Amino acid sequence: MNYQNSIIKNYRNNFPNRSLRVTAQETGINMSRLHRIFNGAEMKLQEYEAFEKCLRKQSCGGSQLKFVERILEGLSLMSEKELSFFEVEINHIVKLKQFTGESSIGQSALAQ
Amino acid sequence: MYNFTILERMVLESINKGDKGLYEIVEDTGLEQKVCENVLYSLMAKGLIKISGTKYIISDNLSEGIIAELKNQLNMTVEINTLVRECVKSSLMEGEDSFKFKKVYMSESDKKFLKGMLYNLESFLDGLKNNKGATKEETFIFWGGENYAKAVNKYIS
Repeated sequence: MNYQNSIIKNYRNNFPNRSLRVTAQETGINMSRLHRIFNGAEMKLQEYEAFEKCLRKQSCGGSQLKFVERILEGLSLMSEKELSFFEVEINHIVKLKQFTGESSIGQSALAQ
Repeated sequence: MYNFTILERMVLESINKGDKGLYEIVEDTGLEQKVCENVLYSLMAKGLIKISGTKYIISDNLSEGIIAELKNQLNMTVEINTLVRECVKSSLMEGEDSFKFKKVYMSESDKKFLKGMLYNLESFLDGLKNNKGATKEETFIFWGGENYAKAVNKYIS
């Protein structure tokens, strides 16, 4: 499944009863364009971001959402070198949580 | 990249001191059994250790790729950072004695005097290298210093 299908499926799972009109209000994408997207038209970057933002809003509380957005802003400002360091740090945190059983990811992930 | 963590290094160091079974590793490292099991699983999957009888041993033929990963400087920076950060946190947030930090102006003669004292400290620690004991009882020590403006400029550049 490509990323577009996956994000739309995810959106529909999270908002099964949301009308096209409400989706248009939430995403800022007009209704006829949304109709085309739901029928397979390729999304633009801003449209991906609008869907992702809706999904993040759903999965996070207000302060968490702000924090996630702050992280994304920080990531976009980092140099290649800083990003590499940050990536290794995050990988360490995830791996240590797997070792201590605080992450639900299974044993096979530990071998990565 | 494999992203070698402080837990894997600790377990590997323990086995490197002598082949050990699970319970001996738990005893030597002071880590929980479940954590040790997970770490051992990861090290085995990567081919860093293997089982011989009832003991875990270091693999004899580590590939150059694995050795390069173990020595990866970015990874080691994160590993050391993890330990030092823990000391900074304990010191500043819990009032413990694990991290000392001073910022002072030093004349050239002050710098020479400090250099001499640090040389003595390093010599003393080098003399302890062959001491043997449980991994969990080891102490890590760090020292160093940097010009204030140089460090700040490096950080923002």
